Amino acid sequence: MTHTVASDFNSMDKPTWSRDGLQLAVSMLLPGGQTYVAMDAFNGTGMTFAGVTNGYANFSQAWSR
Amino acid sequence: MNTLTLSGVARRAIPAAVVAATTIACADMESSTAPARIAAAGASTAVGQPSPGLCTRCPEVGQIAFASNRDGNVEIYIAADSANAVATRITNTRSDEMNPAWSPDYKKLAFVTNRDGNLEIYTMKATGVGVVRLTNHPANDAHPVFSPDGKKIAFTSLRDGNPEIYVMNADGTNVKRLTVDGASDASPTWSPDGSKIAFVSDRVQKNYPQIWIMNAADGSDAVRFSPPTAVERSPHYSPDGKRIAFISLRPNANDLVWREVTKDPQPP
Repeated sequence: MTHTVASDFNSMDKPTWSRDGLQLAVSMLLPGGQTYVAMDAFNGTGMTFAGVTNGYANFSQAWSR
Repeated sequence: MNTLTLSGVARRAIPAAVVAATTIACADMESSTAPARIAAAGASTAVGQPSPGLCTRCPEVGQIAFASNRDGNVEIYIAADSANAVATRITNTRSDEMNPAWSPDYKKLAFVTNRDGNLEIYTMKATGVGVVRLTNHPANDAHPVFSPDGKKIAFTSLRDGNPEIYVMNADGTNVKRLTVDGASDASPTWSPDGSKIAFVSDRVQKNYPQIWIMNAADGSDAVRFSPPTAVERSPHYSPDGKRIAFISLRPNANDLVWREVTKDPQPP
């Protein structure tokens, strides 16, 4: 089985599972800049949180949760 | 010649001069899409200063370690995994630091830096102190990931002429090459039981990397994980080992996808 969690985003990279396996963090290009974004890995409920960018780039993230 | 950036997104997100110093030559494993904006200051605190919402001694509190160019060059930061979390910078050099990877106990981070002239792998405590250099080779080393028991680190290296997957003890000793292939093998991720390593390779079709899985002990029995339908990168095993998340690249956009490991691997 293959499941698409999020599609049609630019510059997505480095998916990282949360420790409980329910969320994924990934870096992507948002209006404020490139940053990490966490989202539900299964039901597509959207963004849980995103890193603050203020126009700068956050990337190469690793999640300890 | 195409290049593989250490961060994947860094080529689009940071100045060209920085990117030039943080790339390793190999077959292209990513596509470039839209540019990122670089403008005003970001929220962060300096090395060693406390940060609201950050608890480096509380493993039950989720944290995101990441690289950012918010203070002029690429450094590593930690922030709580919550909205509007303030980030703490844990490296502070004139060189670039990136590719942070947590140890299984979340007390240390492996990372990549060019502070000694080329890209090498280091570790440090999650507070940014206790920095230890693990690799020392004229070729670039990148993509460090701790094994689930914390005793080993898998990484990508160009030391034998093209990107290959290696593994070493967590103190940098006993470096062992796992992949031997003329193609590019990169971005390793351990299965939770430590028996397998997934990685990206373009060994079937050059410049068309896909995810493969091999035995972590010796690199044997490498099999393709995905059907050859798209370019893929950045695999990451789920905590239960049942899925691998990765990025699927299309010409003008990317998808975040996971695939069940229980599917029969594709033949080479």
